[in-house]
Amino acid sequence: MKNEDRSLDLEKLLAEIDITPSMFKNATEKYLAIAEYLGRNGLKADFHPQGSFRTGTVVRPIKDGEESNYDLDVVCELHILKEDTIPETTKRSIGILISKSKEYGSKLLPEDDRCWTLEYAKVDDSSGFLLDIVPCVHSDAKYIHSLEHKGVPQRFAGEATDITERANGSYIWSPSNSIGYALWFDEINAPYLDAARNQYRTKLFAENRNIYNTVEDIPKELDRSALQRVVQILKRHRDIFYQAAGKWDLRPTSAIITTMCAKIAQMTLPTDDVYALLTMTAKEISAHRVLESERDSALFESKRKYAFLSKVDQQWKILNPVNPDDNYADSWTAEHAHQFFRWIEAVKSDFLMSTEYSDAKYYAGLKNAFGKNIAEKILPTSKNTTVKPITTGTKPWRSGIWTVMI
Amino acid sequence: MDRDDLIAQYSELRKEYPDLTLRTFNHGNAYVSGTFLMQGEYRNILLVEEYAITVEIPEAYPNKLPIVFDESKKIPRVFSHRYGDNRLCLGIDGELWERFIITPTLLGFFDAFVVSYYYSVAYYSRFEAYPFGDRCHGYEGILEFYQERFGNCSQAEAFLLLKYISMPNVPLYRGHALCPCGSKKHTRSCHGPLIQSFKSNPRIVRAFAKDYAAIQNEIINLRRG
Repeated sequence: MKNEDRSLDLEKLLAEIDITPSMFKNATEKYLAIAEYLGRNGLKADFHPQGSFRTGTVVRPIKDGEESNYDLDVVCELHILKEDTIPETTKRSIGILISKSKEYGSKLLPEDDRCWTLEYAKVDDSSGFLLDIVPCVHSDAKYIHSLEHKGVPQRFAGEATDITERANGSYIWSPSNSIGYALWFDEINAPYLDAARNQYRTKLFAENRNIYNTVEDIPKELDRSALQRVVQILKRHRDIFYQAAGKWDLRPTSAIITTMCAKIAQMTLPTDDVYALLTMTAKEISAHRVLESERDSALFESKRKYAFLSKVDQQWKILNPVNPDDNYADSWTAEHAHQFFRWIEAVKSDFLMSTEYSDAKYYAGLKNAFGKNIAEKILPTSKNTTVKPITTGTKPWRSGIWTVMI
Repeated sequence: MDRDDLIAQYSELRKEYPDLTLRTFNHGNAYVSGTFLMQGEYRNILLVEEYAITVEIPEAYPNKLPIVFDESKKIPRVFSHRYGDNRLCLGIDGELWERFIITPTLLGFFDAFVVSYYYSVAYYSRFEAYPFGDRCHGYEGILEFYQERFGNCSQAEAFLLLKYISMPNVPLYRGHALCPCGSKKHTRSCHGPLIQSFKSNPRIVRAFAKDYAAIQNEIINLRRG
C-alpha cells in the first residue's frame, strides 16, 4: 500500500466523521443568532466556539456504540463583572431567556450541570447536532495574575473565565480557559496549517461550490492541518477501541488527546504528512509506557528533552497548558493508564506499519479505527473484502493442575 | 485415513488458505503447514493476522482430530491455552467433536476451531480479554462445558450425566427411570432428550468418555499428590 494511497483513504474517512462545511455554517449562524436574541433582550454576551469546534478537531461522537449527533460547544461570556453577579444568576438568566423564545425554547433540553443544550435535528443529509452553550464571566485580575505567576503566558492567562457549575443543587464558579487553550493550540498549529493549507482549501472548495463562491470564502476554521487530523484520528480510534474493549469509562478525554498531540507537534518539524505525524505521536506516547511500573517519572524525564506525561508519587499528570493546577489525569488509576497504553499499541498496530501490510490487514486497521460502517461505505470496494463473521467461537482450555483440594 | 479423501479435503482447504502445504507419507501422520491467514470478525471488530502453524493429521483421522502446533511465536505468554510443545488447546474434547461432526473436513476443522482460536489470540493481544470467554484449566473447565451443555446444571449433575453417557454397557434408555443426574425426576422429563441425542452418536460418546476419564485421572492424581 503506497503512502499517497493511504493518505487519500485517510482524507476520505476523516471527511466522513468531520463536521461538514454546511453544518459548520449552520451552527455558526445559529449561535450568532442566539447571541443577537439575548442582546435584544438585555443580556449582552460574547459567543465563542470552544473545544473541538474551536480547534477544528471535531469528530462525530459514538454514544452507546452508535453513531451520534455532533456535540458543538460555545462559550457565552456575559458582559458583567464576576463580582457583580453570582453563578446561579449567570446560568439561569440565559436559560430563562432561551426558554421564553418560541424558536429556541422548543429545542432546549433539560439543564446540564455546566451548560444549556439546544438540539437541532438533521441540518444536512448526514446528521443533526447539539449546541452546548456554556455561560461564564471573565475571571478577576487576581486569578489571572496567579496564572501568570505559575508560568502561563499573559496572552493565554488573560483570557481566563469562570464558568458556572451546578453541584448538589447549588451553583459554584469553576475556572476555565477555553479561549486561552485555543490560542495556545493555534500557535502550535499555525506552521502545520501553512504546510497544508493551499492543497486542502483547493480540494474543499471543489467539493463545496454550492456554499462558497471563491476559495477565500472558506472560513479558516475549516482548514485542517496534519496536527488536527492526528487529533481527529486518535479521538475516533479511542471511541471505537474503548467501546469494543468494554472499558468506555476509562477512555482518555479529548483534552488529554489534543494536548498530548499538540505538545508532541510542538517539538516536531511541521509537516503536512498525516501518517508521519501520527507515527511520531504514537511512538512518543508509547515510549512513556515504561512509567507504568515506575512510581515517579523524574529519572525518565531527566533523559528526555520534553515531557507531556509524567508521574509523581504514583499520580499521573497531564497538565492543562494554560492552567498548571488543572491535571487532566487527576482521576487516573493504574487501570486507566494500563488501558491507555494498550490503546496506543492498538493505534500503532492499525496504522504505523500499514505500508507493509496486505490489503486485508490494512483495511482491517482502518475499519477498527473509524468503524466498520463508515469504512465499508468509503473505502474502495475492490480491496475491501467481506470476511465471514464468527458467530460462535470455541472457548480455549488447557488440562493442568488445579488448586482446589477435594 | 483415506489418502484420496485427505487430498480432496486439503484441496478444499487450500482454496481458502493458499499458503498451507500438505505433506503425506506412506504410513503415519500427515502434516499441513505454512502461513495461516486468520481473518475474523466478531461484534464489528475485524482482525487480520498471519500465523505460522503446523497441523498434525493423525493416521486415524477423521476418527481422531488433528492437532495444531503454533510456530509463530506471536501468542502472548499470558494467553495460557497452549502446551509447552506449542500444541494448541482448542477446547474440550466433547465440544470439539460435537462441532466437528457437523462438517468433518479439514476446512470445517479450520472454520470451527483454528479461526476461532487465533481470533481469540489476536483479540487478546489487543484487548487483554477473551472474545468468547475461556475455560478454567483442568477438570473444572471440562465440567464447565458439560454444565452448559446439560442445561446449566450443577457440577455434580454434569459429572453424573457425563459418567452415564460415556458408559458403554448402559441399559437401553428408559424414559420412566429416574434421571441419572440425581434430580429424582423421571428421565423423560429431565435430561432424557439430551441423553438420547448424545448416545446416538458413537463419536460423541467416545469424546465424552475421554473427558470423563480426564476428570477421573486428575482427581486420582490430586488425591495422590
